[in-house]
Amino acid sequence: MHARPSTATLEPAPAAGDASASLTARVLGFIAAPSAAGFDALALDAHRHQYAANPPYRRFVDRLGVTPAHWTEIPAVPATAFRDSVLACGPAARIYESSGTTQGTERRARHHLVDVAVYRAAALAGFARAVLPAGSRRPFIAAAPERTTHPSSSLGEMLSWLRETYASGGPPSFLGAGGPDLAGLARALDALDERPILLVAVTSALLRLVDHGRREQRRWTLPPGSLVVDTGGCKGYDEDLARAAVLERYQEGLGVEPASVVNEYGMTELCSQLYARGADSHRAPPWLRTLVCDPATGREQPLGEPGVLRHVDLANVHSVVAVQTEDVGRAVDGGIEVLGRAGDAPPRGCSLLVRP
Amino acid sequence: MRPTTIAPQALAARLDEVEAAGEALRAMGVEARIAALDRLATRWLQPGFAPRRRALATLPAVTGYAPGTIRHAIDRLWGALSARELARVAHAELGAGQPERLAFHSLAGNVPGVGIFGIVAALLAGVPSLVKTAEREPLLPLLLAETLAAVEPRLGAALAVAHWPGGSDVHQRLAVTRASVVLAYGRDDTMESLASHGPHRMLRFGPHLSVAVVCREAADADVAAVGARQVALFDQQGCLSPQYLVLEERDAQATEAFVAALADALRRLAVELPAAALSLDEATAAWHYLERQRWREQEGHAVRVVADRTARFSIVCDRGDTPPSSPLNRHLAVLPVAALAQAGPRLEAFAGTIDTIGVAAPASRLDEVAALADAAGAHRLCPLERMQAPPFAWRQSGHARIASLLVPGPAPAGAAKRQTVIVPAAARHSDPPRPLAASGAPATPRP
Repeated sequence: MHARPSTATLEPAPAAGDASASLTARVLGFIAAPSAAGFDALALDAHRHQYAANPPYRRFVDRLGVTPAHWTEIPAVPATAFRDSVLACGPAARIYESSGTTQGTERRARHHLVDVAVYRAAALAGFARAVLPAGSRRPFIAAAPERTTHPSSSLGEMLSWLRETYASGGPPSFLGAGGPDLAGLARALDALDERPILLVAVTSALLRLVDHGRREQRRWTLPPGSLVVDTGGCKGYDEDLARAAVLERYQEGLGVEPASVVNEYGMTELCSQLYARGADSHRAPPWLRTLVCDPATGREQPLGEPGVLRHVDLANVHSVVAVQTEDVGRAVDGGIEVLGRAGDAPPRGCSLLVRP
Repeated sequence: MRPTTIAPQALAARLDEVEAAGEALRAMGVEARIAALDRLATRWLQPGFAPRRRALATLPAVTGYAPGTIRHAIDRLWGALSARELARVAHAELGAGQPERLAFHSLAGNVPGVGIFGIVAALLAGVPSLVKTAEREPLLPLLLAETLAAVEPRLGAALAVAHWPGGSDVHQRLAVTRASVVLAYGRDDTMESLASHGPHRMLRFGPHLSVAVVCREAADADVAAVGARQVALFDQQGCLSPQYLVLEERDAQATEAFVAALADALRRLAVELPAAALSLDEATAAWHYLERQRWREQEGHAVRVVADRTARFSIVCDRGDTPPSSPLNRHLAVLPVAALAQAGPRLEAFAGTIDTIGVAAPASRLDEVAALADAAGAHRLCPLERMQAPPFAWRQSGHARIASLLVPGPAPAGAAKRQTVIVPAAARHSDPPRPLAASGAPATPRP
């Protein structure tokens, strides 16, 4: 006679949904109250969750044959994989696309977000830590994508959250599908009173506004206490300016001190952002850590040595936590100096570098 | 070595001198010029010739290329400048017009000696020349000028070599506006910068790529080794470097074996001809390219990736519709086709950008390959092993070697009308195509 196996002692495996919800809660808790000691365990748990629930990522990890024991060992997916695969641990609530302005629609990266709340929490908490504490409302002027004009842009979504959180009023964004409305932006600055404003814009729009002012022999002086947040680098502008030169132009054309200018570094493939105030390096929030790696070996570079940036972002809990970018930078004391995008440099001579 | 920058006033004086030397150059007669250039080439091919030894000793450090690559560059350059070859091209192309008054050659530094055929062509045409050297390779043009002056002072006087930082407006304007023809080598931005000064006439030697074509009868390990060498020489930095290899497929197993043979050969060449050190940018581009191809392979795309551990070379065999874009530096894409006729559509994406098609095929199939080269708009068709050893007659970027330095009709009186003329690609040049040897392997390359 065979005894029936008892089920009384078997612990039911947690449903995938429960594990996912639990991890979401832990990441949200970390964002609300970060603890340096908790980063490693949470990153590894996110990795394990992604290995189980994200098939392309599982195939990637299996191909590498890596079982990470520390957050720095988590296999980092090349950012280009977001162009080729759906990297998500479940059905997407939102899909964000990179602009693809230079590479065509078929080359757009797509970030499938299972839980937008994590992105919102990371974006707002990061902004509050680096730029302006929550609860402070002020006139809000934008020349950047917004949800209404750029519904598939992760930056547009973030800007709309910022408007909801910080704006005491202000016109819609002056960045449309056809580019920035410089005349409208100029009129909005003309109409400012003494209240400090929050001006959020893509860098190229602000530089073009400064040029517009030069042509019309005009310059503005933002009210004291105003903050300028720019993003996107000089993409879309005629010149590739160093950061110091950008700050100089803002100072000259907008009357804003470098210390009141904050640069945002973000990408469609990440839910968290780094910020640099004035000429300082970019600083990550506690839930995002960045490694500077040698592209040939994948190993971390010594402090100060340039390499490619690899981000481990806990807010990417339901896609891939570790992303290998093409951005070049170097670790400096407490931050990352972003040097630009690798691969944009032309070849040395007459060999044609095919760019699809 | 760091080249010395010439002052603008000194540059103006050199332009005066060199232009004035044009008269004596033309008075020499073409046969005397050919004889002098042949003597020069003969000296350069002698192992003990001091300037050759200096170039072999210095250029590896200056350019980053392996000593073997530099030796190849020097041997193929001077080996192509025999009296017979010079005479053949001169007699075919001279007579199309009168020599230009003054040429300005703006060189690129990617491949040592890349603009020297143009300089020699100018001398043969009776056109005095100012040459601006590239930051990365200032030595060979200087040595050419020195050795030329020693062999034949009248030729030496008609060639001035100078250096200034790339993009220096004052130098560039002076050189471009004084010259009656500009030979511009390098990247598109260099071309645009030169064109912005309104040259009288400009010949663009801009970015191009090359393609290897291997017919199924030739697809063996020996041919793979020959193809890999063309990839490794100059690290795909030159327009003669194959970025793609079209492989007429016998079956999947044979393709796999051919790809493995290519990889083996590139592995051996990493020792024999070590690649130049990569910039961070280049290393990152290579890493990302490979990671993307590996990702596509992992996700079931029709891609097979064979690469070394540190991404210093790779073979990506891609059966998809869109050929991958090589980041250069020894990353070759193999495009298998069932029949050669199907290669045309796969090369359509590169129409207008192909310089050379190098072929390994039996004689019976050369017509098919020639048709493919015509359809692709290639400037040159040659045996696979000659891709990186072009003859003097090579229509580089589509320009006739000597005829492009002549002004049609009678000699120009006074200043030429000021306009930019982009000379269109001329007819394709074929190196004498050679069939496979009886063994199936291509014959040994010419010395």
